[in-house]
Amino acid sequence: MVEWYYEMARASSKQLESLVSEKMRQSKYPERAGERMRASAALVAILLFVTPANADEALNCKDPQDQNSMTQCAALDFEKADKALNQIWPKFKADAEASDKDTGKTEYADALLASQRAWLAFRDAECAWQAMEMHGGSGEPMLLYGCQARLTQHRIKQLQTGASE
Amino acid sequence: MKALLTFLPAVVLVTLSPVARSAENLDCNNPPDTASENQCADLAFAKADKELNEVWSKVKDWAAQNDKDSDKPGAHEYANTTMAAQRAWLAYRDAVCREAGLPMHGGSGEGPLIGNCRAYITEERVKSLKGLLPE
Repeated sequence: MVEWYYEMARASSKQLESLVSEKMRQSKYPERAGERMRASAALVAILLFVTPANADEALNCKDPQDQNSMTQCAALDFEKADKALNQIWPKFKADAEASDKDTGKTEYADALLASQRAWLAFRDAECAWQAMEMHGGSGEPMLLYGCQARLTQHRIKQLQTGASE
Repeated sequence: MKALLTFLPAVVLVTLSPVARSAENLDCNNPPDTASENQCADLAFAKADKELNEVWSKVKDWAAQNDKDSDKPGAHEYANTTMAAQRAWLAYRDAVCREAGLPMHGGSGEGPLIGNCRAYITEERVKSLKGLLPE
C-alpha cells in the first residue's frame, strides 16, 4: 500500500487520475469507492508535499554544492548500500546452511556469521579512522558515511565473488 | 676429516638442490600440485605482508604527526584510532580467510585457499592504505 502511494506521489497529475481509478477497480469494496477516492486524493495531496522525491530534486547528488548536501548525499549512498547488503544477506546465509547440511555441523553458517561480525567491527573502526581527517569539523560525518558506503559496497562484492578475486 | 670434506659438498648439494630447483621451477601461474599451490600462496602472502609492513610504518608516522599537530597532542587520538582500525582489519582478514578455506576444510587444499585469501585481502589493504596516505 505504501509503495502505491509513493508511486502516485511521483506520478504527474494526469497519471494520478488513471492510477486512482485503476486502484478503485481493484478495490474489494466498490460501494465505498467514493469515500476511498476522497481519502486517497487527500493522502496523495499530502504526499506530494512531503514525499522525499521533492527533497531529492533539490538535493543534487551528482554535483552537491555545500557541506550539508555532500553529507546528505553520502548518507544516502550508505543507506542504499546497507539496504542492498540486507537484501542479499539471506541468500548467503541460506547458502551457508545448505553447505552445512552434508556434515550436520554449523561450520559454514558460523564462519559466515563470524566473518560478517568481524567485517562490521572493521567497517566501524576503519571509518572512524578515515573520518579523523576532518575530526570535529562539519565534514566528519560526510567522510564517515562515504567510508561506510564504500566498505559496504566492497563487502557486497566480496560476498558475491569470494574473498580471493 | 678428509672423508667429511669430500662428502660435505655432496650432502649439501643433495639437501639443497631439490629446494633450489623447485623454487626456480615453481610456476605460480599454474601450480601443478597442492605442495606448489601452498608454496605459491605463501610467497604471495609474504610479498603482500612485506608491502603492508612498509606502508604501515608510514601510516603510523602520519598518525603520530597528526597527533602532534592536533589540539590535544597528549590524547593520541589519531594513533589510537589508526591502531584500532588496523587491529579490526587483522581480525576481519582472519575471519574472512578462515571462511574462504572451509570448502577444503581439514584437507591439504585448505592451506592454499587461506593463503591466497590472506594475500589478496592484504594486497587490498596495502592499496587502500596507500590511497589514504597524503601525497
